[in-house]
Amino acid sequence: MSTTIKKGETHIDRPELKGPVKIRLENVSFRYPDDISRKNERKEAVSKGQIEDLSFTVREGEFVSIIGGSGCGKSTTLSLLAGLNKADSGKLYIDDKEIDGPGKDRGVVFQHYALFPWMRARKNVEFGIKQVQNLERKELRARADHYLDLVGLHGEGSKFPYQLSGGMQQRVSIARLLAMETDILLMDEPFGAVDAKNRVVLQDLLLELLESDSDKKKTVVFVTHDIDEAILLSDRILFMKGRKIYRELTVPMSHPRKREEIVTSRQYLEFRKELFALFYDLDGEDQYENKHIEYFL
Amino acid sequence: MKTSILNIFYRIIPHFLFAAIMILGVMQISPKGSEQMLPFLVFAVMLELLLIILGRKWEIPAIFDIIYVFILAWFIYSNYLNTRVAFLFPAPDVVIGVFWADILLIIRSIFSSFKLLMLGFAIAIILGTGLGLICGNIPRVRNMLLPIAQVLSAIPALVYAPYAIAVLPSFWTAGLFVISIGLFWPIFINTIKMVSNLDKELYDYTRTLKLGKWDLIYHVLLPYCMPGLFNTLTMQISSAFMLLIGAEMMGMTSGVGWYVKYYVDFSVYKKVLAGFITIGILVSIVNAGMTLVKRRALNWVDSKRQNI
Repeated sequence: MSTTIKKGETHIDRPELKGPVKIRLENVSFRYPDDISRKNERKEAVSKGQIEDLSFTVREGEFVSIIGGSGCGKSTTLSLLAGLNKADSGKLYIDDKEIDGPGKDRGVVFQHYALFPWMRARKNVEFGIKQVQNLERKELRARADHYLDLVGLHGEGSKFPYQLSGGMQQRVSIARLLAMETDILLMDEPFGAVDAKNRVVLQDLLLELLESDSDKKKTVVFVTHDIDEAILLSDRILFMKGRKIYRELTVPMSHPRKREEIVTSRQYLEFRKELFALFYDLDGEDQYENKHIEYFL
Repeated sequence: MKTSILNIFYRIIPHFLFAAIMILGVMQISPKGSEQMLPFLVFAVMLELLLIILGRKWEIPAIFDIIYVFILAWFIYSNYLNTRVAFLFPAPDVVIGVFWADILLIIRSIFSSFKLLMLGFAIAIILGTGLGLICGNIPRVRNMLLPIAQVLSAIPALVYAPYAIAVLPSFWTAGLFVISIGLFWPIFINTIKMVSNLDKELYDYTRTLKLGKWDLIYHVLLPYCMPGLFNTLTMQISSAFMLLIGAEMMGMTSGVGWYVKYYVDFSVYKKVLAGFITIGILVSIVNAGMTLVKRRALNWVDSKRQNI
């Protein structure tokens, strides 16, 4: 049974996730500076990527997905966590320390990989490691190779990004993220630009990598608009709508997960239906569109 | 089958043309003497050897077709059709003879021009890229300087030449100044534009790494600007030559521009034509060098998308 929590309620902890609170947001609001010039427009118009009075926590070792339609503020939330933007009001904490900019305790993966095209795959990974740790050349190379092997890119380290497919480039970017060995992973639609087949492969890879992380210390905040992806990977899903967190749902399946086993389970299908209804606002006003979507469910 | 016959046909044509040149050349030995014709024949054989070495791709024989036809037409016109004003239309064997006689001076001229050009390139690249990276990285400075730079860059650099000659200590430094400033503006403006258009995700990623200013410039911005820099250089190469030759003609005492100007003043047109060919050789050397450097420096850019 899924545990659905309505907006405003405190979130119910899953029994297996009793770690300390790693990330905390308290009444965070943010609006992109460009939008100030548009203040004379319709007041109720929601600016793209704007968030208002956002509060949630993420526990250590937890995998939390933020989903929602485009422009609902999910990527903005992640950029605030990464320290790339500063909140207009409210506070963000990591380990009870306020976030005041980008930090080397957080690794970020972007939708379009953000690999340096002039560095070979291995050098890209090494460059990431070098920024957080001082390692000797040999160790650096060994670690880079280890993580490239881990994401299935054995022997591809000397290729430039343009010589790799989109899926492989995202593997490099995941290897770079993991190689930095940060506790917090922030992922902004990492599989959004990858073709459908590779997306499935990469989701399974990420799931496998995180489940094999023996300490279970990695805390992940994952932004996506793919419902199935969110269910498969997450412990908890935050559904954003209209600048806020509209619903908070705990995924009712335990780890380790196997895609082929869980996607056919009743639990999964029920949960997916619930999330789908939420996502496409099936109880909402637009009855005509809703009928069409219901048909697919 | 059809294409392969056509291919063989294409490949054979330049060799026929070469044979025609050789026959005509040998026929001229008795009236002109072997001393004059020998350098020309040697030159033709060298061209043929070059064709044999390089001629694997289909376009090389095609290029040699054009060169051979040109030499043949020139040879026939100047030796058989227009013998009266020979000093205005010297025959190819006469011009090649100039290379034979003036080889040291021509090599010295090429070196002198090459040195000036490379120094000009170096100064413009270092200053243009360096200042462009710094200015492009600071929005306030960028917004202030870019409009000014766009006005200044529109002034043709050769206009500065007479003033530079008056102000600077020598013709050589004045020439260097003109070439450097002519190349500086496009490089500077292009670098600023490249830096300010840095890919958003890449920029965000560098911010998450908390890169220092110099690390950001050295590891990220500089390589990021490289394709744009090479693009600008390739486009500016012809204007750089214009500046170089212009500057050399204005009063310098060495270089290929000086060589042409010097003999124009004395109406020695065979040497003027030799000068033209020398400029062509210099352009080819610089272009080949540029392609080589570009291929090494931009080995990370998909060659299909280089289109430079």
